[in-house]
Amino acid sequence: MREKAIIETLSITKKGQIKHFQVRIPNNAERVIGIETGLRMISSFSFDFGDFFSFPTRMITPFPRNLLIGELKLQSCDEGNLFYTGEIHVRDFTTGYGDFSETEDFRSEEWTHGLRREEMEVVVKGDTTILTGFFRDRIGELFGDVQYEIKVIVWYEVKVKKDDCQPCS
Amino acid sequence: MVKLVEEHFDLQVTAANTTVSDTFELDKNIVAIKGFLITSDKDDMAYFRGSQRMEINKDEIFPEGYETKRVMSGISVPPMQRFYDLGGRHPGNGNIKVDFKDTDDGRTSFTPYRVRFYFYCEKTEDNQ
Repeated sequence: MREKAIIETLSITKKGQIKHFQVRIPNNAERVIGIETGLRMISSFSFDFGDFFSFPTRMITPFPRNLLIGELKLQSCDEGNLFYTGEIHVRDFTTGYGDFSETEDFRSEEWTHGLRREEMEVVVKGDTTILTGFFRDRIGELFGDVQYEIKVIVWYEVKVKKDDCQPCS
Repeated sequence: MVKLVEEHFDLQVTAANTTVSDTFELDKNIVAIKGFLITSDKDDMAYFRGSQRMEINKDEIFPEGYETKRVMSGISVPPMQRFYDLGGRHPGNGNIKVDFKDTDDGRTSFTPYRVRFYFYCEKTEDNQ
C-alpha cells in the first residue's frame, strides 16, 4: 500500500466564524488512515502573560494554559460517521514545564523540545469519497477578529495494482 | 553487507514568501530510505514559516503545503526516533525533489535561514 496526503486549507477572518467544508477522497483510495492539522497565523495578537515567560523570574511549575484556536470535526458518509474531533492550539506553552535546566540563552520552545508529531490514526473506508468537515473559531472569544489559516491533512492508502511494480522511472 | 547511513542536503531561504526548489541525488548504493528529518540553523523560521512538497523517484511523499514543523523533532525525542518513518522506501533512481516554501506567519519576522534535509538510509557496500 502507498500512502498519500490531501491538504485542505481553511481561511478564518472573523470572530466565531464557522466553516463547513468537504474533502474529496480519490477513487483509488483504499481507506483513510490518518488526520493531521496545522495553523498559520496571518494577523498577530498580544496576550499579556506578565513575567510568566521572563527569565529568571519564569515560573516553571505552574502549568501554563494553551490558547485554543478552534475546534475541528470530520464526518464520513459511511457508517464511520463522525470519526474525528480535535482542538487546534496557537502554540504549545507546556514544553518547558518542570524543566529547570533552561538558561537565558537556551529556552524551551516547540522546535527545541517538541515531541515528534504523529498523525491521529483513523480507519475510514475509501468508499466514502467525501469527508465533511466543520471548523469553529474560538480564539475570537478572547481577541476578536483574528486572521489565520487552518490546514487539514488527510492521509489515505492508495490501492496498488498487481502489475504496478516499477522501482525506477 | 548493509550499513545504516545518514545523507543530508541543504536549501538556503534568502527571501520571504518564496519557494526554493532543488533536486538531490542519493548515493547509488542506497537501497532503502528508512526516515526523513528536517532541521534548520534558525529553527523557529522553519518551524513557523516552512512547508514543503517532496517526491522521491517522482513519487510524491508530501503534497504542497505540508508543514515543516510536522517533520521536526526536538531534543526531548531520542535521536533514532526523530525521523519521519518512510518505511524503507526503495529510492528508485535516487532523485529527491524538494520544493520548500516560506510563508509569512504572524508569529515571526523573516530572516534568511538554511534548511537541512536528513535521510536515514540503508546502504550496501561497493563490490570491488
